[in-house]
Amino acid sequence: MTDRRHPWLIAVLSLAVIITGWWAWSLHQRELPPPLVGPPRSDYQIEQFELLVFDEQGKESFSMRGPRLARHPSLGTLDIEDPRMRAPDGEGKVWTGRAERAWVSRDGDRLRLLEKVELRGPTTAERVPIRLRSEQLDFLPKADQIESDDWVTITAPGSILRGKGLKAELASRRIELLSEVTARYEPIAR
Amino acid sequence: LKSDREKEMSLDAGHGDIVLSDNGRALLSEGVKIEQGSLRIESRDAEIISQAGEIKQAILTGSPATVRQDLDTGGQMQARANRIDYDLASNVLLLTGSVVITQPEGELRGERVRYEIDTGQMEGGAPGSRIQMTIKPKQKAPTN
Repeated sequence: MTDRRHPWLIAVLSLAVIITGWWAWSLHQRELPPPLVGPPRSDYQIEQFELLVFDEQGKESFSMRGPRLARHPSLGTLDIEDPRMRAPDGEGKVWTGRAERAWVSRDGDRLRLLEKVELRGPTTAERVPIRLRSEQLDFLPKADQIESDDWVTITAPGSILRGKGLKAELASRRIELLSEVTARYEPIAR
Repeated sequence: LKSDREKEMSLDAGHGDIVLSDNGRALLSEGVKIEQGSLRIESRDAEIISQAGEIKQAILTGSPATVRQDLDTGGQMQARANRIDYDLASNVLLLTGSVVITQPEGELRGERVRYEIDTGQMEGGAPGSRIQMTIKPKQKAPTN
């Protein structure tokens, strides 16, 4: 009697082993943490920071504040969220900027504002207020210049200029739009 | 059209070198198109001069620079020249160098022509150069 039941018993038991084995393996897979993607861990992070950058002569290059700053451990660059920037131009007049993100080069000579960038020029008696909007704008404090490879829209009283690619000197407000330039001027008041 | 000057002016160019200040200047190049109402100007380069935040003058140089505009009296004015100075305050075009202006009534050629956009009045001539005018005969009323 036992001979006939013996092979069936083995079959059932081995099926049970396979099922429980597969079940245990799948549970284990689910617990594994997702593989780490993206830059390596920053060597330090600062919350609610204010950053002041000075040039070699001790003159203020720019200042920035925001909710979070992280320094890249090997490159020495900074990645910043939701930055608010202030920068004096060659005549000491302050430009203000904001964006979704920012990146600062290792020696602070290039500050890249990224996504929903807005830069406002100083408003003074002799300077009309201007505003630049783009998805990428580089600020070069030493050269007192800004650059972009992207579309830039420049709004000033009575005019809207737009082009692809930009080079500009802050103090003199000389702006070069490199291609596909359009301009709209309001009619002269009579 | 007289109403053109109350319209927004739009410009289009391949490259722009602009000084953004109250009394600014913009050098546009690589093919310039200017539109203001029915006024259409095309040239190779353009210098736009503004004062107190408003455009006062547009200097267009080309090969040639061309102008087209609808006339309040019907029809269209077309002009070409090596250089066109558009004074927006007085609404006057100063055309210099191989100037040809064509209107429904006829054609005027010369080296220097002053054209008042509001009235269509033209004044031509420059030292040492003459102007040529061609006036089309009035269409005879059909006799039945």
